[in-house]
Amino acid sequence: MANAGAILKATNLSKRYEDGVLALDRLNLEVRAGEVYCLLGANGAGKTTTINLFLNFFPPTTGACYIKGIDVCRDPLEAKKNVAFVSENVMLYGNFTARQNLDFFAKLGGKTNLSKQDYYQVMRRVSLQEKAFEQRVETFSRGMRQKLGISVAIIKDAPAILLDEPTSGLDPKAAEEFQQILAQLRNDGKAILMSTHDIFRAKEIGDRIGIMREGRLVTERTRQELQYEDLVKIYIDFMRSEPLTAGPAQL
Amino acid sequence: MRMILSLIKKEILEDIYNIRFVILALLCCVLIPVTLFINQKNLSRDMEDYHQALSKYEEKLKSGQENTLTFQANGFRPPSSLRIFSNGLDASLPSEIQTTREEGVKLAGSRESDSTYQAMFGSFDLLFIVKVVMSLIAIIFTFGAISGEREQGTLKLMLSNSVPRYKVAVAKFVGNFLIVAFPFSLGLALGLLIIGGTSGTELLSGDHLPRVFLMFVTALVYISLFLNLGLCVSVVAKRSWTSIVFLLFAWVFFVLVVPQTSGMLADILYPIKSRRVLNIEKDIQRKNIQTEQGVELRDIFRKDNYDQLRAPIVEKYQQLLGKRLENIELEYAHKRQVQRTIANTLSRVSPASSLTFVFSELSNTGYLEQESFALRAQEFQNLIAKNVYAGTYSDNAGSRVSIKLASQDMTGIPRFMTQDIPLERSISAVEVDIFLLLTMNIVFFAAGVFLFTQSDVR
Repeated sequence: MANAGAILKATNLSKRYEDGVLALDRLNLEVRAGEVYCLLGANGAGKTTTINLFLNFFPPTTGACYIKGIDVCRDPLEAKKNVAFVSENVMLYGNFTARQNLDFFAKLGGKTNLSKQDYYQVMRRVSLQEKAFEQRVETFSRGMRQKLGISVAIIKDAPAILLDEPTSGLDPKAAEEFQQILAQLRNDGKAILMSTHDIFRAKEIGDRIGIMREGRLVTERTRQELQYEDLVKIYIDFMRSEPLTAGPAQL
Repeated sequence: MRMILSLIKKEILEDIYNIRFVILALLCCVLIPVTLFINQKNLSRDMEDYHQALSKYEEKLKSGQENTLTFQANGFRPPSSLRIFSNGLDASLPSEIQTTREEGVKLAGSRESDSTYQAMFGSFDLLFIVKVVMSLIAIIFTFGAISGEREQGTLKLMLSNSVPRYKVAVAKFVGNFLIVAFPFSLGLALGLLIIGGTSGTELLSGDHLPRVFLMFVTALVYISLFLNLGLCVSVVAKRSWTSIVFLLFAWVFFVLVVPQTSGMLADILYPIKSRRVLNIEKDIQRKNIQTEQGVELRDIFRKDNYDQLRAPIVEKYQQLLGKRLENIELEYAHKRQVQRTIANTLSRVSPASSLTFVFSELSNTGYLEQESFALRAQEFQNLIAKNVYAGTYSDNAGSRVSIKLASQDMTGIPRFMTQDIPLERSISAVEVDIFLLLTMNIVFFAAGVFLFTQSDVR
């Protein structure tokens, strides 16, 4: 059973793919309610693998992950009731309107009695233009799709939200708006785990930041610690250091 | 239940908003009725020919210029009313029977010979639409069912919810099945209404309605088989283009290659002589018998009672020749049957072959009709032999003497009777094909669902 305070928890979580690549190596982390945890790292560091394991998209090689205390491997369907997901490049269904997409994913998330106004309200919350509510998503810009993606996560109203590089490819204004939405969700008490390349955005929004390299969480800093340290320097130092050999990093 | 309905609804809506659905609907609502209408017109023409041939034959009989030695009775095979659904063997089956006193029944006059163009390119019927067009459409609708969602990232989003994967797979199948089956059913219903309006109630007479219904159900099973194949491949394929390329190869193999090559393969595995060689062998037998007969007659030639002795010898060799020719024919028919069984068995690897067998037998244009017609032709020959040719007798010199048939005798001459194949017999002939279609359907569906539940989502 996970720590009572942690909504998301990974213990000794490892993943080795069929081709032999060790994508994740004995990861331990916790994300509490009302906390934004940012996973920083280069491509192939294990950020997306961590999120995919929380969503049971494939089983871990060793270890376990929990959502609200429920073992994801043992009871994935129950665990996934408590988590929402926003992917890197939200495509959704291009032939559907924004509302139809929201309606479909809300029903999958167990919200079956929502009205058109409920959907509109969520889309207003993420600052999606009113005229886009009944437009086909195929006409949307990347920023608009990302806003709709976060609407899908909001409407599910799950205690945990997983975001896989959500600001990747967004223009600064859209990324800023996105950051504000995340801040609101944190204030709503959601436990947010976000993987990102964006060091500056991570520093702005993250309550804790973990740096990953070669499948390992090599270091972790809190917002308070970063008031006195330069995150960019820490990140670059870890990226430039000698290849990792054995044993998990001491956190 | 609510979740699976949401998933099915999403599949249907996604397809309805897609241009491919509009194309499918137009294709089904135009192609099927037009094909049925044209085939109905061709059928009416052939039916008219059949009735004309019958009436001319009756006129010929009434003229009474016949004798028992040279008389040839004729029988005519009417075209099957259901061949508008599957032409099957109808065009290549003989449409006419001629009885002969000495050489037995002759089958002649296939309708195919009337149209060299159709012989070259084949004909277009509902079977062709289902076998070729609908199967292709089915894979076009499902090649990206899973791989497409994986590519656009919606699969991850969908499975990040508390959704069992088997429900996603089932919904994909049901949604796509409904979206393909509906325009097909609508097109068929329109076609039936049009030909029902032009041909009266003939189409609905006898056991035609259950036969048409069974063909419709089999068509749906066949279409769903290709939907399941598409689903199964789209689970395994990482990308949609890989999926469609593989499926197109599979489609070409199953729909075009296997049915066409099974006969050739059977010919290699179990070669038999051609009809031409067989006829030469029969000629050799005739000559051998004549030689043997000549030797025996030469031995008695100088005897006083030659004429008395000659008749039984001639009769004996005639019987011997008849027996030998019959044996050659029987052996040939048996070998052809074996070769056909090998070809049919090999071709059943393909669901397209099974569908062809089901449609042909249910349309009365298949092997059963061929066998039944040959059997009835032989019975007709026996009947004519008993009623007419038995009136020929040998005189003392061993020569046959004919008896002139008066016109009043002609009315008593048996007529060739057509006979419908009972529905139960048609069904029992295609049980194995229906079983194979259902089994392949279940196998592809189960494989698709299993692979999807076991696959990694990346």
